[in-house]
Amino acid sequence: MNQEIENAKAQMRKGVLELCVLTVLSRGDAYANDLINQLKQAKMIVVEGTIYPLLTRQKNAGLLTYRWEESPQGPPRKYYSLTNEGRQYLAELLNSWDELVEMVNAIRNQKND
Amino acid sequence: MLDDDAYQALERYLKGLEAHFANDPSKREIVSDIESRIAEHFDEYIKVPGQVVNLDEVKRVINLMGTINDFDSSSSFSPSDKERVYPKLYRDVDDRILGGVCSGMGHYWKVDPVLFRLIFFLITLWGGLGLLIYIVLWVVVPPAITPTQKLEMRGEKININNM
Repeated sequence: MNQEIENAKAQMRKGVLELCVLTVLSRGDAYANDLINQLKQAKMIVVEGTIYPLLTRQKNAGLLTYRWEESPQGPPRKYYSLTNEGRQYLAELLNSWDELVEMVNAIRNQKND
Repeated sequence: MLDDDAYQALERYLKGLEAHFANDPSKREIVSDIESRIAEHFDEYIKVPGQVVNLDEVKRVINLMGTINDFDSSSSFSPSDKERVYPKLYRDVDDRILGGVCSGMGHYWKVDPVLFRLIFFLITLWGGLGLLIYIVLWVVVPPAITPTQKLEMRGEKININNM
């Protein structure tokens, strides 16, 4: 039972993680560290590693790009930023998110009469 | 600096990641991103220059990064990419001239089967070897009979929609 709940939760998060990553980047360019911290704070991710395959795929899909920037200490860092395509994509995702929430609420508030 | 145990544990973890992403064209990029993140964690941990990273620290960082299981449940951005099945070699008995070997090979390499037919024909002219190879393949390669096998032959993922 517990295992199933965890699984269901993970599936839900997985579906919206993409949306969250793009949303965070829509507020400004970020480096993986900032991104991870924000997502972790929101409890969207549990472990850090999972974000990297997602970022790479979004980059390959043209939704975001990155540039290397020197850091005060340590090696250069990747700064991710949203492309125009990514912005449009995000707008659509947010739309369907709103729709989804409405749909779920409609179903939850339905009365059996 | 890592001590021996720590080094081995980290090495095992990274090898595991590489194996996990083996079919991903961006494997190198993903793994190197994760490596840099791990390096950052070690940087934060090291307070005095020359301090050695021990096994406990490596375990802590691996916990933070997540194991292969975590990746499975939440990493896929486009599932169709990841769960893509590679074509299997079958004989296509629906589109055959003799045994369907050539059209099966055509599905496998995504090439027009006529090309293979031509090659076999030419090698056959040249001493009959082609015919022998063809017959061996006819015997060895299984025919695609069930819907599942036909999907596997075309390299399509099996799901409710295409069954």
